[in-house]
Amino acid sequence: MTDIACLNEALESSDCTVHNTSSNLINVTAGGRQVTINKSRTNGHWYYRFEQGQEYRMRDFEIWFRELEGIYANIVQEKKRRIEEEKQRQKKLAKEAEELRHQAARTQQKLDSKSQQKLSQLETEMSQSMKVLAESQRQLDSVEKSRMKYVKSTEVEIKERADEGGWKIARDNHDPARRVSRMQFRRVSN
Amino acid sequence: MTTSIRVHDIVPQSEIYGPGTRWVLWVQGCTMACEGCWNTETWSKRGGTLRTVESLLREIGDNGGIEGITILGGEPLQQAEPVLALIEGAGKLGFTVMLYTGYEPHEFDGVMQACYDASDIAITGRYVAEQRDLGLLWRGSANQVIESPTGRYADLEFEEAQEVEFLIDHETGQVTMLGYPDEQILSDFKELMGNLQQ
Repeated sequence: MTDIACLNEALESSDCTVHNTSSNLINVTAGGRQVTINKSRTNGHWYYRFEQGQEYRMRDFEIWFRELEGIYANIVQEKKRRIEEEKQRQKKLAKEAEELRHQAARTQQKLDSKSQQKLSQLETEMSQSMKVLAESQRQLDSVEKSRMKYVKSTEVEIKERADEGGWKIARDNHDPARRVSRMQFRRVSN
Repeated sequence: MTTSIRVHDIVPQSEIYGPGTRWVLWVQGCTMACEGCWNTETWSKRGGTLRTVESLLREIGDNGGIEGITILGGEPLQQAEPVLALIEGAGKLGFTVMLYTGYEPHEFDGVMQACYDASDIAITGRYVAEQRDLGLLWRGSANQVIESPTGRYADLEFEEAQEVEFLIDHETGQVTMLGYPDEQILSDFKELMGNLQQ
């Protein structure tokens, strides 16, 4: 989870009480525990910590957190779906408007007032749809930007920590087509 | 004949379990209970997902860009019949097969032996905590043996080394660590990924 807007939406849909939020912290009660969810300064993902030996007591919170991650993923998918739907709707509206204009051109007559009204309505709907699409795309771009920042930062952090531990990078494969990064490290004993 | 394998997990592409890029399958279920085993969540025979060999072969065929497949677990040879079908099917598709088993060859029955014989690389032998050696390539303990039953990798030259691999799924953000990490990189990884123990 890297996008704060989607995370807030996910929190609204989940079974929890949000006490306060800032750009880096969210204080929440869920699964019978009050816990602070933090934004990682390293790679921007939202996480929580618990102390060693607290596994059993954190179990219900852990389950809730996994559900929250699922809700977050669904929200992102829903945004993508809405954009696709809006694009399809725009195509349909444009086709209807085009048909009306062709009809007028074929008959070389002005559209009657009913058709004129319909055309005007279609143009208004298309204009509104363009705005909805632009806003949805902006939101999705923001999600994508935060996600790719997370991926890049995580890659860098892993490499730095591996290097500190004496590991040499053997393969570094960032595959946008498969949407996966694969880094292999080796260490040869003396 | 059983045509389904109880699967614990699949990684579509990895470069850490055998030569080249490989499709990797962890089977679910193992009764060996090796002390110090890192994959205890693969022991239960009730967990995981049942997948037909046909669907697994389809997935392998559609993968693109892999040299072969690697089967580990759990204990692959405790599902020897469907695993044999998978090994032979992958071979027919032109992929090499690497097989991990905790059994030693003298313990094999007929079907287990057939699995071994059809594999291009086999790592045999239980994980023995007292012989744990992270500096070995593809193995966790010094008693484990690398062989090439088909001879296809008989000339393979490799340098012993400790290896780890990180996979970052751009879609879900999930980071997976594979291979043979030491305590330090394991703890770094947990710290990096947050919501784990301090």
